[in-house]
Amino acid sequence: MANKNRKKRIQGFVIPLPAVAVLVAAMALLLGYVGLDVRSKALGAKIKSLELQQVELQKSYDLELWKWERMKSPSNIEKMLSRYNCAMIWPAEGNIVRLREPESVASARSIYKQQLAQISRPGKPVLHD
Amino acid sequence: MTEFRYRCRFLLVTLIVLLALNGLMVRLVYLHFRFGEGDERNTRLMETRHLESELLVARGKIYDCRGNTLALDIVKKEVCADPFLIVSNKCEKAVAENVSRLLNTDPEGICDKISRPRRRFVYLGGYGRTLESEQAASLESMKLPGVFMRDMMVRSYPQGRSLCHVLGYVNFDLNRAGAGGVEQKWNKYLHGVQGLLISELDGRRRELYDRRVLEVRPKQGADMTLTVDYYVQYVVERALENGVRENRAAGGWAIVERVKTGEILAMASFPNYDPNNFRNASVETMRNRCIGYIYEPGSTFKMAVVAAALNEGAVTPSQIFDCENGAWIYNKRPLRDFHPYGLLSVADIIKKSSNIGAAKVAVLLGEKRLYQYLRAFGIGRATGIELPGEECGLLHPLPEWTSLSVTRVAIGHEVAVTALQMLQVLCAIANDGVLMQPHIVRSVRDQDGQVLFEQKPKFVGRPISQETAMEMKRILARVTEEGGTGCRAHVDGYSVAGKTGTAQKAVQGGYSDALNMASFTGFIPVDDPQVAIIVVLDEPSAAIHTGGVVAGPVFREIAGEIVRYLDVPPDKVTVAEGKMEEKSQI
Repeated sequence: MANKNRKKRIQGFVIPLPAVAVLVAAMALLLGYVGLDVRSKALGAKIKSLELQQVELQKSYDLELWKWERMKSPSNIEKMLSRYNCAMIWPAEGNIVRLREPESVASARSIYKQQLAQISRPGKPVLHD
Repeated sequence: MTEFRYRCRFLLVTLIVLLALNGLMVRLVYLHFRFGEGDERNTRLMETRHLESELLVARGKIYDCRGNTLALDIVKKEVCADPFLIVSNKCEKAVAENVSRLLNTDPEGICDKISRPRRRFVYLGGYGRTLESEQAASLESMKLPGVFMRDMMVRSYPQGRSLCHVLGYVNFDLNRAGAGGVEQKWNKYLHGVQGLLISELDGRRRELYDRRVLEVRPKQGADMTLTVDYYVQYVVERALENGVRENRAAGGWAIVERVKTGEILAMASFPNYDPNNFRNASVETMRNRCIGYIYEPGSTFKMAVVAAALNEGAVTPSQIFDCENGAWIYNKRPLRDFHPYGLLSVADIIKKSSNIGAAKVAVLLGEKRLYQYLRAFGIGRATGIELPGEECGLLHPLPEWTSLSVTRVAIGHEVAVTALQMLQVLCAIANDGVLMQPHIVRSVRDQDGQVLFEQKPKFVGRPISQETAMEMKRILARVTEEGGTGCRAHVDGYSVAGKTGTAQKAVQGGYSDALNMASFTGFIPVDDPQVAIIVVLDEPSAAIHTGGVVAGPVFREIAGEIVRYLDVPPDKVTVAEGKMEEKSQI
């Protein structure tokens, strides 16, 4: 009987189950906290880099807009044209076809005839339009 | 025995690890609760890590009526230095030489700034002096110790000098307040609200996002759309500059206005300045003379007098007046014509611009009625355009008029107007007698697209009836025909109505014989007026310096191109050289 009891006795210190449970829970919370912290820090860093990127993009957009506006300004276009010996003129009135919404088919025909007559009117040859 | 030794080793290792952990724990607690330390170190630490910065905010953009950008904020680099670092590295000379070459300044001045090792921050180019992107790249590649660049928001005008008087400029001070033009008048809309960021920095001086305490996002200024069309503006500026140079004038100004709505399409004044470099501009060049300079209008004023007389039924267009062959004595003072005329109808008085004829019409109308009409046309009061610095003009109250005044006011003397006021008189005539409020700002929208301000065409008054306006249009159209004073303002394919003006400049003690103001104001086309234009040249030195000869061709150049650009159909067709024929409308 005495032998039997000796066999059942557990050698060394046994951590009680509730303590293990508390430790595991604490560990899980700790790991969860660390994980969330790392994740939020990574997200923060990403947001920060995106913010910087946005600022940089806005800066370069404004700069490009400024360059584009300078390039397409009438004075610059005229300068460029004169550099290549080009001159732009407005088309002669006879070479312009004005499209207007007709009130009816009959009025559309009459407008067409009038415009045709205007275009076919003999005039000076126009070179650059 | 062996088991005992293992147990001892295990205990020893555990003890060491526990001691180490304990040490770390103690240090951690010490750092957190700062036992044994005063507040000084803590404060210093917090100061080093603390970040409080004002977030840069851009002013609103300014657009023309077709959406072209006229003003915007861009970020540029300004050169700064840490003299302590430069002196420690003993590279003052190299820094001074390289930076001065880049900034095109005196190296000694730079050397002076960086030879003060006690200072940790100086502006090398001076506050507000920024680098172009190529210059910034070049400086960056030099890698000069202690020299660094800082971002600075700069107001930029891509069109350069164009529209400078309308736009104004923005000061370099911390508030970045607008000065002059719409930048000043509309500062409260254009100027945004600065943001604020309070946070902490890491060891590399980077902001820690998760330590952000406060973040107030900056609110960008509202965007503004003007009624101005920058191509029309370009045409006006080019023609005006040519006109000023050809006639060796001291200056010139011109306005283009839509007759039916009062929208200003262009407003130019020469000499002008570059708002990107406003610090080098003189005050005189910054003045918007279209609204900020008053002058005696001379003969252009006759149209207001005749319109008033016609509206009152005091005269008819065909009524004949004796123009006294060029000299008329009224109240013992002579009044002369530029060319002597005999009998002229009211219509011809305008066509030939007879001073005596206009004075007689005014006498017939009476000074009280003349004064009332001039007030109704808006003479002597500001038009209310949304620009700063508008002058009211000068129209003396009736009790202050002398017995001669009625004859002098009739020919545009003893009265002073701005170019815009004079244009308003013409616009009222062109717009069937309806006076509209001139305006240059179309709308203001915030960044969410919400409309904060919108200007719609605004009725001001009706100084003359529609019938009188029609009569006046016909009378004014004759001015640009053959034999009229404004025949040089004629535009091929279009009928033009207008009036020339040549006024001697008032100097101390009287009128100058040498200095004068030449002007032409007109609208196009006559039957369905689209745009009205005024051109004024100050002190032209050409041999003949009358308004028709000097300002007429400038008007012609502007009007000729604008009608094509705005696609105004011609109301006349050239059949053969010099002959015009009315064209039936398609």
